[in-house]
Amino acid sequence: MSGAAWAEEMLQQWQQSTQQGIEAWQAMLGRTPQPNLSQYWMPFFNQGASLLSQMVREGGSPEVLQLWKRFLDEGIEAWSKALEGALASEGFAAAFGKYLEQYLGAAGPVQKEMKKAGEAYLKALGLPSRNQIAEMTSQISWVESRIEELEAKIEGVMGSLASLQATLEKARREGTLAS
Amino acid sequence: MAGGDDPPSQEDGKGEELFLATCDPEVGQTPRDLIYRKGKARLYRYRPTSDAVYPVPVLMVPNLGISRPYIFDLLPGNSFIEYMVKQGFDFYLLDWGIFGDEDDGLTVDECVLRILPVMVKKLLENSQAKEVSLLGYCMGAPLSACYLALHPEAPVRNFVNMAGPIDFEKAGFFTAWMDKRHFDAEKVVGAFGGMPADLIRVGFKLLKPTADLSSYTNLWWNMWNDRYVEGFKALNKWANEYMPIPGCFFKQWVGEFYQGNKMVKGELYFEGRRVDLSNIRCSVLVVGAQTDYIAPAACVKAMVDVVSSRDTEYVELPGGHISVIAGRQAATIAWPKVSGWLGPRSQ
Repeated sequence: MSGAAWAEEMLQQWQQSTQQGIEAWQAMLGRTPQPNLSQYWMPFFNQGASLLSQMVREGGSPEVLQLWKRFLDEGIEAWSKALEGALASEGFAAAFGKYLEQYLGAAGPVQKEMKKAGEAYLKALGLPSRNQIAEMTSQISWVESRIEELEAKIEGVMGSLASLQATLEKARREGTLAS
Repeated sequence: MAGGDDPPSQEDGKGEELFLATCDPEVGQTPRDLIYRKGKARLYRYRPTSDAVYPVPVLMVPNLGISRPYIFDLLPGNSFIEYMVKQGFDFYLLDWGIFGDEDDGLTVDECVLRILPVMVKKLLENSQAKEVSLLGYCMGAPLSACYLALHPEAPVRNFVNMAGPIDFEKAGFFTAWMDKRHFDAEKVVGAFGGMPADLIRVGFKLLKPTADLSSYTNLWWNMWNDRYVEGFKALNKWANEYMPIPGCFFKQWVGEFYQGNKMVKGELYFEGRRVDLSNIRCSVLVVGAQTDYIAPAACVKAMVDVVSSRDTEYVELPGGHISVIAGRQAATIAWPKVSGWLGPRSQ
């Protein structure tokens, strides 16, 4: 196949896959779970990959490959722009919220149960649970804060002592220190 | 990270080998020392490498949770921190840490009123400097802004906001997705204790669904470029390593910043103290990115309108949220801009 024919075929395939992708995206708004959008790009991407392999093996035309890369870059950019509008829409935000709600409804209780089971298992082994370690960590943090406060107070006292000492020295030098 | 426009050629590169290698790229290689720790937070100082060091040190305050701070020190030759150290800055980084269940009680108040002040204090003690410059990236910028607003007496000479959201009504997709009507942070925290890393991943991947395809296409195109592949692996490792956000912090972050937009409205209170951004009087540089989906330029730019500083500058650079901090574009445009602005103000 000539370079021009290759390019023509790739362009057509690209346009077709872009169109399919856009239709899928539009249909998806408000629907969960979301489809894997990359499936619409993959055939085109794979075609380029085999083209590259062929070029490396047999020394094909780099111009055709460059053209393919340009189509892909432009296509991705066009896709990005199209998606931007959809992602910023109220419809998407609502769909996202709904998806999250469903996810939390399903995953939240499972997570809680797993935590509960994990804690029971650790207890049976005589090991500290996550909660106990968390509690201990916050106690250490509290002790750390208290040490910092004490440090700051000691610094303050040291500062006052230093300035008192300086005043005394000065008074001693000037002979104004009362005996 | 974008590669060249020339078609790939094999030359004698071993990018393919590098890509297939199972070992992790060695990130965060700039030599540093731990200066102080408070809870999970760590203060690091990067060892100066230049003969002349600016007398005003820099404290970088990154985002809390979400991602790891090694993005600022990705690889030798592709590291913001390494660059700043070479430019002569006495550079410190606040690493908020990796949070677990035990941190779900951490609040924004604690970060602003206790962690940041103590880190600034310890930095000044360590560096023997009288003043410091704050450099907030992403969420680190509004946290630093709150600290500055509540501590107008703090010895902060300069403040750089890099891609940090300020006016949350203009925060694009996240403003829309976290609208009160659709998003209930209380429920998320109720179910998981905090904001789990997996959910954060979903949110960030949705911001730009074509991002993975784009980056893999560019990788494939540059498969014989060793440097590109090495950079890709490091950046890809970072981009897929999401971190959870502590529960109380997340509720406050969503409710008061995104849903209430209280900081910029002057309605935000920490322990009864109002956050008034007009208390900020130091020199301010604000860096927005033209195609930032996380903190769009308009929401970052708002900073220059709310502070009282006489010396303010806003720059809008090409690229997205990450391209101001890592990658080829950052190294050629953003880093020199930040360094060039900070240098004369750090004498």
